[in-house]
Amino acid sequence: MISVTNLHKHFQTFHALKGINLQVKQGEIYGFIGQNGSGKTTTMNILAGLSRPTGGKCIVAGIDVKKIKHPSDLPIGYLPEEPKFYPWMTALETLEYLGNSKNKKADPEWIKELLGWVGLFDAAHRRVGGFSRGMRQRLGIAAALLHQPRLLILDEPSSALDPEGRAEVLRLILELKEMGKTVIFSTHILNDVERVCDTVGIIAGGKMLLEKPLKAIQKDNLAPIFDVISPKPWPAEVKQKLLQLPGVKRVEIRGVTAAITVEDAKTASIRLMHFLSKEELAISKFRQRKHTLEDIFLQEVKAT
Amino acid sequence: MTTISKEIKYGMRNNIFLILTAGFLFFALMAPVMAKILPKIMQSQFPHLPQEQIDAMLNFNQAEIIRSFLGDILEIVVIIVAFTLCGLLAQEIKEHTLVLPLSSGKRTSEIISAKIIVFGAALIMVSVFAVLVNYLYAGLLFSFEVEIIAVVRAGLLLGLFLIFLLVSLLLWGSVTKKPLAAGFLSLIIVYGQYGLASLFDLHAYFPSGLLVAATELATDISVSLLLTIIITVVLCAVFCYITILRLKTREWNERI
Repeated sequence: MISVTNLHKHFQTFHALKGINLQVKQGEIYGFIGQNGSGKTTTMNILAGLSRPTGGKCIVAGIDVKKIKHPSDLPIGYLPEEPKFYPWMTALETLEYLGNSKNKKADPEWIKELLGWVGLFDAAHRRVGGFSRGMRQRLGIAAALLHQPRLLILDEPSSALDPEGRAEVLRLILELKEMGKTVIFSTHILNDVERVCDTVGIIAGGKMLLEKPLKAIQKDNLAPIFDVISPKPWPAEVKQKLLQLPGVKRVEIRGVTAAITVEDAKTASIRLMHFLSKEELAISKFRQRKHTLEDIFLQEVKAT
Repeated sequence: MTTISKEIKYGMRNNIFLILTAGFLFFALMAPVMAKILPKIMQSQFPHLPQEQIDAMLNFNQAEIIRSFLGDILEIVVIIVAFTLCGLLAQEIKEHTLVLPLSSGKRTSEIISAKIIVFGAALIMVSVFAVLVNYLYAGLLFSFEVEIIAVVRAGLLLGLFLIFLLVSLLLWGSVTKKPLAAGFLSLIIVYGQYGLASLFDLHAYFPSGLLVAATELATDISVSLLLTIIITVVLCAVFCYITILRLKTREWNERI
Protein backbone atom coordinates (compact mmCIF):
# COMPACT_ATOMS: atom_id res chain seq x y z
CA MET A 1 0.00 0.00 0.00
CA ILE A 2 2.90 2.32 0.80
CA SER A 3 6.43 1.89 -0.45
CA VAL A 4 9.04 4.43 0.56
CA THR A 5 12.61 4.08 -0.59
CA ASN A 6 15.54 6.26 0.45
CA LEU A 7 13.31 9.23 1.28
CA HIS A 8 15.08 12.52 1.92
CA LYS A 9 13.74 15.89 2.96
CA HIS A 10 15.70 19.10 3.39
CA PHE A 11 14.34 22.30 4.93
CA GLN A 12 16.89 24.92 3.82
CA THR A 13 19.83 23.95 6.05
CA PHE A 14 18.02 21.27 8.06
CA HIS A 15 18.14 17.66 6.84
CA ALA A 16 14.90 16.27 8.32
CA LEU A 17 14.75 12.86 6.63
CA LYS A 18 17.94 10.97 5.85
CA GLY A 19 17.00 8.06 3.63
CA ILE A 20 13.83 6.59 5.11
CA ASN A 21 12.69 3.14 3.90
CA LEU A 22 9.20 2.02 4.79
CA GLN A 23 6.75 -0.63 3.58
CA VAL A 24 3.10 -0.80 4.58
CA LYS A 25 1.14 -3.85 3.50
CA GLN A 26 -2.52 -3.84 2.60
CA GLY A 27 -4.89 -4.35 5.53
CA GLU A 28 -2.34 -3.85 8.29
CA ILE A 29 -2.01 -1.26 11.03
CA TYR A 30 1.44 0.24 10.89
CA GLY A 31 2.75 2.12 13.92
CA PHE A 32 5.30 4.77 13.12
CA ILE A 33 7.06 5.66 16.33
CA GLY A 34 9.70 8.17 17.23
CA GLN A 35 10.54 10.94 19.62
CA ASN A 36 9.40 14.53 19.05
CA GLY A 37 11.36 16.01 16.15
CA SER A 38 12.44 12.63 14.80
CA GLY A 39 10.78 13.19 11.39
CA LYS A 40 7.41 11.48 11.86
CA THR A 41 5.22 14.42 10.84
CA THR A 42 7.50 15.31 7.93
CA THR A 43 7.17 11.73 6.63
CA MET A 44 3.40 11.73 7.17
CA ASN A 45 3.02 15.05 5.33
CA ILE A 46 4.96 13.65 2.37
CA LEU A 47 2.82 10.50 2.37
CA ALA A 48 -0.30 12.70 2.38
CA GLY A 49 0.98 14.77 -0.56
CA LEU A 50 1.17 17.95 1.52
CA SER A 51 4.93 18.22 1.34
CA ARG A 52 7.34 17.33 -1.46
CA PRO A 53 10.26 14.97 -0.93
CA THR A 54 13.74 16.25 -1.74
CA GLY A 55 14.92 12.82 -2.80
CA GLY A 56 13.96 9.16 -2.93
CA LYS A 57 10.83 7.38 -4.03
CA CYS A 58 7.47 7.43 -2.33
CA ILE A 59 4.60 5.35 -3.74
CA VAL A 60 1.26 5.69 -1.96
CA ALA A 61 -1.62 3.45 -3.12
CA GLY A 62 0.23 2.92 -6.39
CA ILE A 63 0.80 6.64 -7.06
CA ASP A 64 4.17 8.39 -7.00
CA VAL A 65 3.70 11.40 -4.68
CA LYS A 66 6.25 13.38 -6.70
CA LYS A 67 3.94 13.26 -9.71
CA ILE A 68 0.70 14.42 -8.10
CA LYS A 69 -0.55 17.96 -8.75
CA HIS A 70 -2.76 18.21 -5.70
CA PRO A 71 -2.88 16.42 -2.30
CA SER A 72 -6.35 15.05 -3.07
CA ASP A 73 -4.99 13.18 -6.12
CA LEU A 74 -3.95 10.50 -3.61
CA PRO A 75 -6.82 8.11 -2.74
CA ILE A 76 -6.18 8.39 0.99
CA GLY A 77 -7.76 9.73 4.12
CA TYR A 78 -5.51 12.03 6.15
CA LEU A 79 -5.69 13.19 9.73
CA PRO A 80 -3.15 15.91 10.62
CA GLU A 81 -1.38 15.99 13.97
CA GLU A 82 -3.81 18.60 15.25
CA PRO A 83 -6.78 18.80 12.90
CA LYS A 84 -7.86 22.42 12.47
CA PHE A 85 -11.51 23.04 11.70
CA TYR A 86 -13.51 26.22 11.29
CA PRO A 87 -14.74 26.90 14.85
CA TRP A 88 -17.91 28.59 13.59
CA MET A 89 -19.05 25.52 11.63
CA THR A 90 -21.05 22.68 13.15
CA ALA A 91 -19.72 19.12 12.96
CA LEU A 92 -22.28 18.25 10.28
CA GLU A 93 -21.45 21.35 8.23
CA THR A 94 -17.74 20.56 8.52
CA LEU A 95 -18.20 17.09 7.05
CA GLU A 96 -20.60 18.40 4.39
CA TYR A 97 -18.05 21.06 3.41
CA LEU A 98 -15.09 18.67 3.34
CA GLY A 99 -17.09 15.96 1.61
CA ASN A 100 -18.39 18.17 -1.16
CA SER A 101 -15.58 18.73 -3.65
CA LYS A 102 -15.51 19.13 -7.39
CA ASN A 103 -14.54 15.53 -8.13
CA LYS A 104 -15.54 13.83 -4.90
CA LYS A 105 -18.94 14.02 -3.27
CA ALA A 106 -19.81 12.33 0.01
CA ASP A 107 -23.32 10.92 0.41
CA PRO A 108 -25.30 12.79 3.14
CA GLU A 109 -26.38 9.45 4.62
CA TRP A 110 -22.74 8.35 4.83
CA ILE A 111 -21.89 11.60 6.62
CA LYS A 112 -24.57 10.90 9.23
CA GLU A 113 -23.36 7.32 9.56
CA LEU A 114 -19.81 8.55 10.11
CA LEU A 115 -20.92 11.00 12.78
CA GLY A 116 -22.64 8.13 14.56
CA TRP A 117 -19.62 5.87 14.20
CA VAL A 118 -17.26 8.38 15.81
CA GLY A 119 -19.81 9.11 18.54
CA LEU A 120 -20.66 12.64 17.46
CA PHE A 121 -24.20 12.15 16.21
CA ASP A 122 -25.68 14.05 19.15
CA ALA A 123 -23.15 16.84 18.67
CA ALA A 124 -23.74 17.09 14.91
CA HIS A 125 -25.36 20.51 15.18
CA ARG A 126 -22.92 21.92 17.73
CA ARG A 127 -20.19 24.31 16.64
CA VAL A 128 -16.73 22.74 16.45
CA GLY A 129 -15.24 25.67 18.40
CA GLY A 130 -16.85 24.23 21.54
CA PHE A 131 -15.56 20.69 21.01
CA SER A 132 -13.04 19.01 23.30
CA ARG A 133 -9.76 17.86 21.80
CA GLY A 134 -10.95 14.26 21.74
CA MET A 135 -14.13 15.24 19.89
CA ARG A 136 -12.10 17.21 17.32
CA GLN A 137 -9.82 14.21 16.86
CA ARG A 138 -12.81 11.92 16.27
CA LEU A 139 -14.29 14.45 13.86
CA GLY A 140 -10.90 14.42 12.10
CA ILE A 141 -11.08 10.63 11.76
CA ALA A 142 -14.60 10.97 10.31
CA ALA A 143 -13.28 13.59 7.88
CA ALA A 144 -10.48 11.26 6.80
CA LEU A 145 -13.08 8.59 5.99
CA LEU A 146 -15.43 10.88 4.01
CA HIS A 147 -14.41 9.60 0.60
CA GLN A 148 -14.15 5.98 1.81
CA PRO A 149 -10.39 5.57 1.20
CA ARG A 150 -8.68 2.20 1.54
CA LEU A 151 -5.64 3.83 3.15
CA LEU A 152 -5.63 6.13 6.17
CA ILE A 153 -2.68 8.24 7.25
CA LEU A 154 -3.15 9.39 10.84
CA ASP A 155 -0.57 11.71 12.35
CA GLU A 156 -0.46 11.36 16.14
CA PRO A 157 -4.19 10.60 16.45
CA SER A 158 -4.08 9.86 20.17
CA SER A 159 -1.05 11.73 21.48
CA ALA A 160 -2.70 14.76 23.04
CA LEU A 161 -5.73 13.00 24.46
CA ASP A 162 -6.69 11.89 27.94
CA PRO A 163 -6.77 8.09 28.61
CA GLU A 164 -10.47 7.87 27.77
CA GLY A 165 -10.05 9.79 24.54
CA ARG A 166 -7.02 7.68 23.61
CA ALA A 167 -8.90 4.45 24.22
CA GLU A 168 -11.74 5.71 22.03
CA VAL A 169 -9.39 6.62 19.17
CA LEU A 170 -7.60 3.26 19.43
CA ARG A 171 -10.96 1.48 19.32
CA LEU A 172 -11.78 3.37 16.11
CA ILE A 173 -8.42 2.38 14.61
CA LEU A 174 -9.05 -1.29 15.42
CA GLU A 175 -12.49 -1.03 13.84
CA LEU A 176 -10.91 0.48 10.74
CA LYS A 177 -8.81 -2.65 10.44
CA GLU A 178 -11.93 -4.78 10.72
CA MET A 179 -13.39 -2.75 7.85
CA GLY A 180 -10.41 -3.82 5.76
CA LYS A 181 -8.66 -0.43 5.79
CA THR A 182 -4.92 -0.03 5.85
CA VAL A 183 -3.80 2.40 8.55
CA ILE A 184 -0.46 4.03 9.18
CA PHE A 185 -0.33 6.13 12.30
CA SER A 186 2.48 7.96 13.99
CA THR A 187 2.83 8.32 17.72
CA HIS A 188 5.28 8.57 20.55
CA ILE A 189 2.97 6.66 22.90
CA LEU A 190 4.42 3.16 22.68
CA ASN A 191 1.61 1.57 24.64
CA ASP A 192 -0.83 2.56 21.88
CA VAL A 193 1.33 0.83 19.29
CA GLU A 194 1.48 -2.35 21.36
CA ARG A 195 -2.28 -2.35 21.65
CA VAL A 196 -3.23 -2.04 17.99
CA CYS A 197 -0.32 -2.39 15.55
CA ASP A 198 0.72 -5.25 13.31
CA THR A 199 3.97 -3.71 12.15
CA VAL A 200 6.20 -1.13 13.77
CA GLY A 201 8.69 1.31 12.32
CA ILE A 202 11.05 3.19 14.63
CA ILE A 203 12.46 6.50 13.44
CA ALA A 204 15.09 8.66 15.14
CA GLY A 205 17.02 11.63 13.84
CA GLY A 206 15.46 11.29 10.39
CA LYS A 207 16.60 7.69 10.01
CA MET A 208 14.62 4.49 10.14
CA LEU A 209 16.13 2.36 12.87
CA LEU A 210 13.90 -0.66 12.71
CA GLU A 211 10.91 -1.94 10.79
CA LYS A 212 9.39 -5.30 11.70
CA PRO A 213 6.13 -6.98 12.66
CA LEU A 214 5.44 -6.20 16.30
CA LYS A 215 5.63 -9.86 17.38
CA ALA A 216 8.98 -10.34 15.63
CA ILE A 217 10.36 -7.23 17.32
CA GLN A 218 9.29 -8.46 20.74
CA LYS A 219 10.82 -11.86 20.02
CA ASP A 220 14.05 -10.88 18.27
CA ASN A 221 15.10 -7.52 19.48
CA LEU A 222 15.76 -7.89 23.17
CA ALA A 223 17.93 -10.26 25.11
CA PRO A 224 15.96 -11.93 27.97
CA ILE A 225 16.41 -10.45 31.42
CA PHE A 226 15.81 -12.27 34.71
CA ASP A 227 15.03 -10.26 37.81
CA VAL A 228 16.17 -12.19 40.89
CA ILE A 229 15.20 -10.70 44.25
CA SER A 230 16.92 -11.76 47.45
CA PRO A 231 15.49 -11.25 50.99
CA LYS A 232 18.82 -9.59 51.96
CA PRO A 233 21.45 -7.63 49.98
CA TRP A 234 23.52 -9.69 47.56
CA PRO A 235 27.12 -10.55 48.57
CA ALA A 236 29.67 -8.43 46.69
CA GLU A 237 31.31 -11.38 44.85
CA VAL A 238 28.01 -12.64 43.32
CA LYS A 239 28.18 -10.28 40.36
CA GLN A 240 31.56 -11.63 39.20
CA LYS A 241 30.45 -15.23 39.71
CA LEU A 242 27.26 -14.67 37.70
CA LEU A 243 29.21 -13.08 34.85
CA GLN A 244 31.39 -16.20 34.63
CA LEU A 245 28.33 -18.40 33.96
CA PRO A 246 27.96 -19.42 30.30
CA GLY A 247 25.25 -17.40 28.48
CA VAL A 248 25.16 -14.49 30.96
CA LYS A 249 25.77 -11.19 29.18
CA ARG A 250 25.27 -8.54 31.84
CA VAL A 251 24.52 -8.30 35.55
CA GLU A 252 23.17 -5.24 37.33
CA ILE A 253 22.75 -5.37 41.09
CA ARG A 254 20.72 -2.73 42.89
CA GLY A 255 20.12 -3.50 46.56
CA VAL A 256 18.25 -6.79 46.77
CA THR A 257 17.50 -7.00 43.02
CA ALA A 258 19.83 -8.56 40.49
CA ALA A 259 18.95 -7.96 36.82
CA ILE A 260 20.66 -10.66 34.76
CA THR A 261 20.72 -10.34 30.97
CA VAL A 262 21.18 -13.71 29.24
CA GLU A 263 21.47 -15.04 25.70
CA ASP A 264 18.82 -17.73 25.88
CA ALA A 265 16.03 -17.75 28.44
CA LYS A 266 15.47 -21.51 28.60
CA THR A 267 19.02 -22.69 29.30
CA ALA A 268 19.89 -19.64 31.39
CA SER A 269 17.00 -20.15 33.80
CA ILE A 270 18.20 -23.68 34.58
CA ARG A 271 21.80 -22.53 35.00
CA LEU A 272 20.80 -19.62 37.21
CA MET A 273 18.66 -21.79 39.49
CA HIS A 274 21.45 -24.30 39.72
CA PHE A 275 23.96 -21.55 40.58
CA LEU A 276 21.72 -20.04 43.26
CA SER A 277 21.18 -23.39 44.92
CA LYS A 278 24.90 -24.30 44.76
CA GLU A 279 25.87 -20.96 46.33
CA GLU A 280 23.07 -21.38 48.92
CA LEU A 281 21.64 -17.99 48.10
CA ALA A 282 18.09 -17.47 49.31
CA ILE A 283 15.72 -15.78 46.88
CA SER A 284 12.26 -14.33 47.34
CA LYS A 285 11.39 -13.83 43.66
CA PHE A 286 12.70 -15.18 40.35
CA ARG A 287 11.03 -13.96 37.17
CA GLN A 288 11.71 -13.26 33.52
CA ARG A 289 11.07 -9.61 32.72
CA LYS A 290 8.30 -8.96 30.19
CA HIS A 291 9.73 -6.63 27.55
CA THR A 292 7.74 -3.69 26.46
CA LEU A 293 8.08 -1.83 23.21
CA GLU A 294 9.50 0.99 25.27
CA ASP A 295 12.53 -1.20 26.13
CA ILE A 296 13.06 -1.94 22.46
CA PHE A 297 12.56 1.68 21.47
CA LEU A 298 15.00 2.95 24.07
CA GLN A 299 17.51 0.25 23.14
CA GLU A 300 17.34 1.19 19.45
CA VAL A 301 17.46 4.93 20.06
CA LYS A 302 20.36 4.58 22.50
CA ALA A 303 22.25 2.49 19.96
CA THR A 304 22.21 5.43 17.52
CA MET B 1 -21.84 22.70 1.60
CA THR B 2 -20.06 24.31 -1.33
CA THR B 3 -17.02 26.55 -1.03
CA ILE B 4 -19.17 29.59 -1.85
CA SER B 5 -21.77 28.83 0.82
CA LYS B 6 -18.92 28.25 3.29
CA GLU B 7 -17.63 31.79 2.62
CA ILE B 8 -21.15 33.24 2.96
CA LYS B 9 -21.56 31.50 6.33
CA TYR B 10 -18.10 32.68 7.40
CA GLY B 11 -19.06 36.27 6.58
CA MET B 12 -22.37 36.00 8.40
CA ARG B 13 -21.28 34.10 11.50
CA ASN B 14 -18.21 36.24 12.05
CA ASN B 15 -20.20 39.46 11.47
CA ILE B 16 -17.96 40.45 8.55
CA PHE B 17 -20.90 41.60 6.42
CA LEU B 18 -22.37 43.44 9.38
CA ILE B 19 -19.11 45.29 10.14
CA LEU B 20 -18.70 46.28 6.48
CA THR B 21 -22.30 47.49 6.19
CA ALA B 22 -22.10 49.40 9.48
CA GLY B 23 -18.82 51.06 8.47
CA PHE B 24 -20.16 52.17 5.11
CA LEU B 25 -23.55 53.27 6.43
CA PHE B 26 -22.06 55.29 9.26
CA PHE B 27 -20.16 57.49 6.84
CA ALA B 28 -23.00 57.46 4.28
CA LEU B 29 -25.33 58.93 6.93
CA MET B 30 -22.77 61.13 8.63
CA ALA B 31 -21.80 63.05 5.47
CA PRO B 32 -25.26 64.69 4.94
CA VAL B 33 -25.72 65.27 8.68
CA MET B 34 -22.35 66.99 8.93
CA ALA B 35 -23.19 69.10 5.86
CA LYS B 36 -26.44 70.16 7.50
CA ILE B 37 -25.07 71.03 10.92
CA LEU B 38 -21.69 72.46 9.90
CA PRO B 39 -23.04 75.96 9.06
CA LYS B 40 -24.76 76.04 12.47
CA ILE B 41 -21.55 75.00 14.23
CA MET B 42 -19.65 77.67 12.29
CA GLN B 43 -22.23 80.25 13.26
CA SER B 44 -21.97 79.42 16.95
CA GLN B 45 -18.17 79.33 16.87
CA PHE B 46 -17.74 82.53 14.84
CA PRO B 47 -20.75 84.78 15.72
CA HIS B 48 -19.10 87.83 14.15
CA LEU B 49 -19.14 86.17 10.70
CA PRO B 50 -22.12 87.27 8.60
CA GLN B 51 -24.56 84.51 7.54
CA GLU B 52 -23.96 85.26 3.83
CA GLN B 53 -20.23 84.62 4.24
CA ILE B 54 -20.84 81.29 5.99
CA ASP B 55 -23.32 80.28 3.28
CA ALA B 56 -20.76 81.19 0.62
CA MET B 57 -18.06 79.13 2.39
CA LEU B 58 -20.23 76.06 3.02
CA ASN B 59 -22.41 75.90 -0.02
CA PHE B 60 -23.40 72.22 0.17
CA ASN B 61 -25.53 70.40 -2.32
CA GLN B 62 -26.30 66.72 -2.96
CA ALA B 63 -23.37 66.24 -5.38
CA GLU B 64 -20.89 67.80 -2.94
CA ILE B 65 -22.12 65.55 -0.14
CA ILE B 66 -21.77 62.40 -2.27
CA ARG B 67 -18.23 63.49 -3.23
CA SER B 68 -17.44 64.09 0.44
CA PHE B 69 -18.67 60.57 1.25
CA LEU B 70 -16.52 59.09 -1.53
CA GLY B 71 -13.57 60.99 -0.02
CA ASP B 72 -14.36 59.39 3.35
CA ILE B 73 -14.29 56.01 1.63
CA LEU B 74 -10.69 56.50 0.54
CA GLU B 75 -9.58 58.03 3.83
CA ILE B 76 -11.31 55.82 6.37
CA VAL B 77 -13.59 53.10 4.98
CA VAL B 78 -10.73 51.54 2.96
CA ILE B 79 -8.89 51.04 6.25
CA ILE B 80 -11.98 49.47 7.85
CA VAL B 81 -12.35 47.12 4.86
CA ALA B 82 -8.62 46.23 4.89
CA PHE B 83 -8.55 45.28 8.55
CA THR B 84 -11.92 43.52 8.48
CA LEU B 85 -10.90 41.29 5.57
CA CYS B 86 -7.14 41.00 6.23
CA GLY B 87 -7.52 37.51 7.76
CA LEU B 88 -9.51 36.12 4.87
CA LEU B 89 -6.60 34.03 3.59
CA ALA B 90 -3.70 34.88 5.93
CA GLN B 91 -5.58 33.59 8.97
CA GLU B 92 -6.41 30.34 7.18
CA ILE B 93 -2.76 29.76 6.29
CA LYS B 94 -1.58 30.78 9.76
CA GLU B 95 -4.04 28.49 11.54
CA HIS B 96 -3.71 25.58 9.05
CA THR B 97 -7.46 25.46 8.44
CA LEU B 98 -6.77 24.88 4.73
CA VAL B 99 -4.98 21.55 5.29
CA LEU B 100 -8.12 19.41 5.64
CA PRO B 101 -10.05 21.06 2.77
CA LEU B 102 -7.05 20.65 0.47
CA SER B 103 -6.45 17.03 1.41
CA SER B 104 -10.14 16.25 1.04
CA GLY B 105 -10.35 17.56 -2.51
CA LYS B 106 -10.78 21.35 -2.53
CA ARG B 107 -8.67 23.10 -5.15
CA THR B 108 -6.74 26.27 -4.32
CA SER B 109 -8.36 28.05 -7.29
CA GLU B 110 -11.80 27.05 -5.98
CA ILE B 111 -10.99 28.41 -2.51
CA ILE B 112 -9.64 31.74 -3.81
CA SER B 113 -12.45 32.17 -6.37
CA ALA B 114 -15.09 31.61 -3.68
CA LYS B 115 -13.54 34.29 -1.47
CA ILE B 116 -13.43 36.79 -4.34
CA ILE B 117 -16.98 36.00 -5.52
CA VAL B 118 -18.56 36.23 -2.06
CA PHE B 119 -16.65 39.16 -0.60
CA GLY B 120 -16.33 40.94 -3.96
CA ALA B 121 -20.11 40.75 -4.39
CA ALA B 122 -20.55 41.92 -0.80
CA LEU B 123 -18.27 44.91 -1.38
CA ILE B 124 -20.08 45.88 -4.58
CA MET B 125 -23.50 45.53 -2.93
CA VAL B 126 -22.55 47.45 0.20
CA SER B 127 -20.87 50.16 -1.92
CA VAL B 128 -23.92 50.69 -4.12
CA PHE B 129 -26.25 50.49 -1.13
CA ALA B 130 -24.20 52.97 0.92
CA VAL B 131 -23.92 55.48 -1.95
CA LEU B 132 -27.68 55.18 -2.53
CA VAL B 133 -28.38 55.77 1.17
CA ASN B 134 -26.04 58.75 1.08
CA TYR B 135 -27.78 60.04 -2.07
CA LEU B 136 -31.26 59.64 -0.54
CA TYR B 137 -30.37 61.22 2.80
CA ALA B 138 -28.52 64.10 1.16
CA GLY B 139 -31.50 64.57 -1.17
CA LEU B 140 -33.92 64.65 1.76
CA LEU B 141 -31.84 67.12 3.75
CA PHE B 142 -31.00 69.32 0.77
CA SER B 143 -32.50 68.64 -2.66
CA PHE B 144 -32.34 65.94 -5.33
CA GLU B 145 -30.16 67.14 -8.16
CA VAL B 146 -27.98 64.12 -9.07
CA GLU B 147 -29.24 61.45 -11.44
CA ILE B 148 -29.68 58.10 -9.72
CA ILE B 149 -27.85 56.31 -12.55
CA ALA B 150 -24.75 58.40 -11.75
CA VAL B 151 -25.00 57.31 -8.13
CA VAL B 152 -25.28 53.64 -9.05
CA ARG B 153 -22.32 54.06 -11.43
CA ALA B 154 -20.28 55.65 -8.59
CA GLY B 155 -21.21 52.75 -6.29
CA LEU B 156 -20.16 50.16 -8.86
CA LEU B 157 -16.83 51.90 -9.52
CA LEU B 158 -16.23 52.13 -5.79
CA GLY B 159 -17.03 48.41 -5.48
CA LEU B 160 -14.52 47.53 -8.21
CA PHE B 161 -11.90 49.65 -6.47
CA LEU B 162 -12.55 47.72 -3.25
CA ILE B 163 -12.26 44.39 -5.12
CA PHE B 164 -8.75 45.54 -6.05
CA LEU B 165 -8.13 46.00 -2.31
CA LEU B 166 -9.62 42.54 -1.66
CA VAL B 167 -7.30 40.75 -4.12
CA SER B 168 -4.34 42.68 -2.66
CA LEU B 169 -5.31 41.36 0.76
CA LEU B 170 -5.43 37.80 -0.58
CA LEU B 171 -2.08 38.19 -2.34
CA TRP B 172 -0.32 39.61 0.71
CA GLY B 173 -2.06 37.05 2.89
CA SER B 174 -0.54 34.25 0.81
CA VAL B 175 2.89 35.90 1.03
CA THR B 176 3.09 36.98 4.67
CA LYS B 177 0.64 34.51 6.29
CA LYS B 178 -0.02 37.29 8.84
CA PRO B 179 -3.38 39.11 8.76
CA LEU B 180 -2.14 42.48 10.05
CA ALA B 181 0.88 42.48 7.74
CA ALA B 182 -1.41 41.66 4.80
CA GLY B 183 -3.66 44.57 5.82
CA PHE B 184 -0.82 47.07 6.08
CA LEU B 185 0.87 45.99 2.84
CA SER B 186 -2.44 46.17 0.95
CA LEU B 187 -3.03 49.68 2.26
CA ILE B 188 0.46 50.64 1.09
CA ILE B 189 -0.48 49.34 -2.38
CA VAL B 190 -3.84 51.16 -2.41
CA TYR B 191 -2.57 54.49 -1.07
CA GLY B 192 0.74 54.16 -2.92
CA GLN B 193 -0.89 53.83 -6.32
CA TYR B 194 -3.33 56.65 -5.46
CA GLY B 195 -0.48 58.96 -4.42
CA LEU B 196 1.61 58.06 -7.46
CA ALA B 197 -1.30 58.59 -9.83
CA SER B 198 -2.15 61.94 -8.20
CA LEU B 199 1.46 63.08 -8.36
CA PHE B 200 1.88 62.42 -12.08
CA ASP B 201 -1.78 62.83 -13.05
CA LEU B 202 -1.98 59.22 -14.18
CA HIS B 203 -5.28 58.17 -12.60
CA ALA B 204 -6.45 56.66 -15.89
CA TYR B 205 -3.70 54.02 -15.65
CA PHE B 206 -4.21 53.05 -12.01
CA PRO B 207 -7.17 51.60 -10.06
CA SER B 208 -7.32 54.97 -8.26
CA GLY B 209 -8.90 56.28 -11.48
CA LEU B 210 -12.07 54.40 -10.48
CA LEU B 211 -12.48 56.58 -7.39
CA VAL B 212 -11.74 59.74 -9.36
CA ALA B 213 -14.31 58.69 -11.98
CA ALA B 214 -16.84 57.91 -9.23
CA THR B 215 -16.58 61.46 -7.86
CA GLU B 216 -17.40 62.86 -11.31
CA LEU B 217 -20.97 61.57 -10.82
CA ALA B 218 -21.30 61.21 -14.57
CA THR B 219 -23.66 58.81 -16.31
CA ASP B 220 -21.44 57.64 -19.17
CA ILE B 221 -18.34 55.45 -19.41
CA SER B 222 -15.51 57.31 -21.16
CA VAL B 223 -12.66 55.63 -23.04
CA SER B 224 -10.32 56.72 -20.26
CA LEU B 225 -12.56 55.06 -17.63
CA LEU B 226 -12.83 51.92 -19.73
CA LEU B 227 -9.03 51.77 -19.80
CA THR B 228 -8.93 52.16 -16.00
CA ILE B 229 -11.50 49.35 -15.60
CA ILE B 230 -9.52 47.04 -17.90
CA ILE B 231 -6.24 47.79 -16.10
CA THR B 232 -7.88 47.15 -12.71
CA VAL B 233 -9.44 43.86 -13.86
CA VAL B 234 -6.10 42.71 -15.35
CA LEU B 235 -4.27 43.65 -12.12
CA CYS B 236 -6.86 41.73 -10.08
CA ALA B 237 -6.43 38.69 -12.36
CA VAL B 238 -2.63 38.84 -12.02
CA PHE B 239 -2.86 39.16 -8.22
CA CYS B 240 -5.26 36.17 -8.10
CA TYR B 241 -2.98 34.08 -10.31
CA ILE B 242 0.05 34.80 -8.08
CA THR B 243 -2.01 33.99 -4.97
CA ILE B 244 -3.16 30.64 -6.39
CA LEU B 245 0.36 29.84 -7.56
CA ARG B 246 1.75 30.59 -4.11
CA LEU B 247 -0.78 28.28 -2.47
CA LYS B 248 -0.15 25.52 -5.00
CA THR B 249 3.60 25.56 -4.46
CA ARG B 250 3.34 25.92 -0.70
CA GLU B 251 4.49 23.17 1.65
CA TRP B 252 1.69 22.41 4.09
CA ASN B 253 4.02 21.25 6.80
CA GLU B 254 2.56 22.16 10.18
CA ARG B 255 5.98 22.74 11.65
CA ILE B 256 6.98 25.46 9.15
